[in-house]
Amino acid sequence: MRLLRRRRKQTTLAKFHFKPALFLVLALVLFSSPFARAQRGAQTASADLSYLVQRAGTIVRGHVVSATVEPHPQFSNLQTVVVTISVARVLKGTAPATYTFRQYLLDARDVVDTGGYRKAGELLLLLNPVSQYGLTSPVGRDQGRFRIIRDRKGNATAINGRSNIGLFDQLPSKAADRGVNFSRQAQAMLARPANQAPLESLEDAIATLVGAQR
Amino acid sequence: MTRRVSALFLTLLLIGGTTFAGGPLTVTGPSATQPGQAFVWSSSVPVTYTVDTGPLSTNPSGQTVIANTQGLARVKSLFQNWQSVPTTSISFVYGGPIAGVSGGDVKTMADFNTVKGSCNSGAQNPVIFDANGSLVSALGLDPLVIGFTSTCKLDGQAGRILSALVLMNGKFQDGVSNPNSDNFEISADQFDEAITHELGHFSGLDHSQINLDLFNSGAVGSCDTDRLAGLPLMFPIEFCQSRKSAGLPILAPDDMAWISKLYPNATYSANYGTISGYVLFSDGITQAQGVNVVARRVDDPNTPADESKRIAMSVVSGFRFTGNPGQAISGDNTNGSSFGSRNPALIGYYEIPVTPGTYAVQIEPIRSDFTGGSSVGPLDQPVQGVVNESWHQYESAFDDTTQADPITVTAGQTVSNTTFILNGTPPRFDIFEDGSAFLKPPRAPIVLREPESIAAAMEPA
Repeated sequence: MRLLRRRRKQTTLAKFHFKPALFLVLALVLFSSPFARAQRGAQTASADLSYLVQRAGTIVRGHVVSATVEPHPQFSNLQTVVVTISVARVLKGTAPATYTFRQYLLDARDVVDTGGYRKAGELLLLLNPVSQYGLTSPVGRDQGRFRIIRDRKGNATAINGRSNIGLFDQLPSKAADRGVNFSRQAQAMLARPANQAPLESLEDAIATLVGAQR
Repeated sequence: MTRRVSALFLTLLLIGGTTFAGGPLTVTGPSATQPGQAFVWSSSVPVTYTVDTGPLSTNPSGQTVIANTQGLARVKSLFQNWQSVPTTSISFVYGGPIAGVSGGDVKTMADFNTVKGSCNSGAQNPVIFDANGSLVSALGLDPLVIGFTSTCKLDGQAGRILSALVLMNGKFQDGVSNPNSDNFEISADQFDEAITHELGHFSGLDHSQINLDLFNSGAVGSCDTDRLAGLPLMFPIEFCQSRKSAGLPILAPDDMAWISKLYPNATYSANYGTISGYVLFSDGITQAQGVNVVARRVDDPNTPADESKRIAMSVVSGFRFTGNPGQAISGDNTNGSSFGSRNPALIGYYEIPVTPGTYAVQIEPIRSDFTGGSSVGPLDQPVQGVVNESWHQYESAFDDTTQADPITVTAGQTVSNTTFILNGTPPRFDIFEDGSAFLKPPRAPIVLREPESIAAAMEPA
């Protein structure tokens, strides 16, 4: 019986062994793990994309070049993370090719993992206007920080720390009331469940909302 | 090759951040006297907090909406939500106004910096009223932030929380709801629940995932009572109507179980038992971290309520093990997180405090988007590929995932070895190498239920 069991298990494991597609799917899930994550410890209200865009002072997409924890230069008891992004696209505001911002770290544990910013992580960031003390953060915390996931074919999707939940709620009708016209591509995205929005469509929608705000 | 890829697979599974758990928020690291223990406040004395002397909320005209007296009473009642759990020893006491700033009213960044400094040194546990959201704004945060908790100082060796800070954004209670001017409003009950959730983190509790189907159903603001009753206040995202408005206590059974587990009083063992075990990969040997384990009370058909939805407690496997063991490749993560045990025997271990009764125990993945600030358990990025499964006594990698054998737990009893074997996970060993690993039985005996004729038919020709 034991031998039988062993053979049976080996057979099943071998079956998995020769199913590269299954392994690939699992590996992709793991490889897609971002290098960025949100800070913990805050309760935030939910907002839709329109508000996030309206509130943001700067919207950029790029890769994290560095993330360093250091005290605030003026308020030494406040720990901050200084994040430098190699900017691939600016959707709102102005940002140089290498953009640096400083974010307050809420919790002692954020110091250990640089607030979740890791080198090489690709992010789309909707950042609050910089405060008079030189601090900013993604709008709505997790909501304004999208990680970019690219598949083998180069298709890119964007997902925020809330799986884009509520991001597009009633957005088309509210935008229509304001006379905002999304492109067909963006409309197609808005009509679907929001989780993992195609990056191109999301950026298109953001650009439209930024344009309407001017 | 397979072994190398499997090692990479495991490494990626384990690359996370600081260690959290669906139970304790943080556990002690390798330098601790007892690695893998929850960080908790000392329960020998009450946790003393100081409170802002300003109003809790003012409106845009500067008029007081919630005066300090009301704010203070509210803070006391919110701490009381946790303290009043009958089986916990944690207690909180008001220690007077915040020290170190003029009059105890924290209004400016300089004030906040001073108070944070005293919190960092362990001198006080301040509760700050940001009456009009100006501090939140100065910190580079935005008007969507209802409140936050900061752990200021930890004793990593003893596993003690030494000080923490809470900030409440009174702008959410100023009576003005005008998102166009960055002013949001939530009900008093919702605000209280949000801050009580933060006080759960203040006390050392992590998020919990139970009744996820309710969240997945999109039932925003209109949750059914049974599932809302079992939905932990420590669920990562608030999406239902307030528990109070549904006639429910502010804390769910899972919240009460875990605050009692971290801070048990003399009556704890007379009111709780424990279900424990391991989660293993399909090989039945290798432990799997980051899998949510939920113990659900078996429904009593003689009551109109569905106890299986209402009474449930959970934890994440490997909650005592680090979520980030480190690696030297990137050059910035050599030793990994300073939190969490490195004892491999804890990688797949779980234990759940439960009230006496009969339970069905289940496993499920943590929702993939519960990451970062919404994370549940030791891994910041949840493990995927886990199939929902109920425990039964003939656990194997090929079993019927819906078959559930009930487990009866009495007060003070620990039902151990409730061990799961995941179905359909990739191989952990190279099948062309020494197969002796396959011959090692898992911690719980495997008995194949299928007739031998079926098993024989599955053998290779």
